[in-house]
Amino acid sequence: MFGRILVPTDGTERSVQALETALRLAALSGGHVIAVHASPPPYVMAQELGLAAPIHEAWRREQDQLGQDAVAYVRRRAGETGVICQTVLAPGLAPHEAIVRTAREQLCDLIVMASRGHGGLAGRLIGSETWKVLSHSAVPVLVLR
Amino acid sequence: MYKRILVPTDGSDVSAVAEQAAVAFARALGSDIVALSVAQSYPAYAAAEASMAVDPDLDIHALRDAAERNAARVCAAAAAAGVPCTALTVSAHSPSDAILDSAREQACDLIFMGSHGRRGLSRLLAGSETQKVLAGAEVPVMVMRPRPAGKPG
Repeated sequence: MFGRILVPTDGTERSVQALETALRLAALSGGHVIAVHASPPPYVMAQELGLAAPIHEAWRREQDQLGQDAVAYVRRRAGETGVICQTVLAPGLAPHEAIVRTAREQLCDLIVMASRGHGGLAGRLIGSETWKVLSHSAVPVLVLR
Repeated sequence: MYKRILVPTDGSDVSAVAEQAAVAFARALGSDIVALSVAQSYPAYAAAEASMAVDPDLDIHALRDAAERNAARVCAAAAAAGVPCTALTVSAHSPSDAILDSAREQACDLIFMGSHGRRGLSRLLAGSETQKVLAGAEVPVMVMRPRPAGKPG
């Protein structure tokens, strides 16, 4: 069925449902899970703010820590469910770029993701990152509610 | 994991890809399939393709026959794989509404469809009906992508 299932994680509860679905599908088909965490590029270049370099550094460290925590959680859940998993950190990429690129590079045959992440407008029914993944992915996308 | 999978079909190549994948998926998970074909009644069709000359053959009976054949084809593929399948044909102006209503009425817990259908303008962008299903669905939606050009199978 699906041998290599990509699941994005943003370290929030919203991505837990996608992870659990990916783990169940992988367990059913003897497949692997590949989890990717994208930390977005900073909105303002540090240099343009003069004094901002230390702030940028602190922000970068925090993003790295969030990514490490997110993939550590994935590895723990994969271990508990007996699914082989790989984790990828993709700093500096928008989530949809990280997802589509990682799916291609890791030869994934399915992407499992929530219909919206933590960003975007509250009133939107489908998140913009999910739209972009749907438009650019070469493989099926399982969109969860 | 998923007990009852709604598979909308419109006879297009993209939906054929989704149908094959849905049957394989249902077989692996031990799910049932509800094959849905929507006979899209005339006003919406005419509005969508306003520049088209009126085709007298495009009456609702012909549309319904074609729709029934599409649903039956999915069920034949399911039967060949040993997957229980219910064929469902409905007449509606809006395919996406028909898909959402059928998913609810048939108590489906997954919708399995192509990223665009017969009238998808671009292989890149998700079709408008797929977008409406994604926005309105209460259950997960598996969106199949078209095969890259020149790579059959």
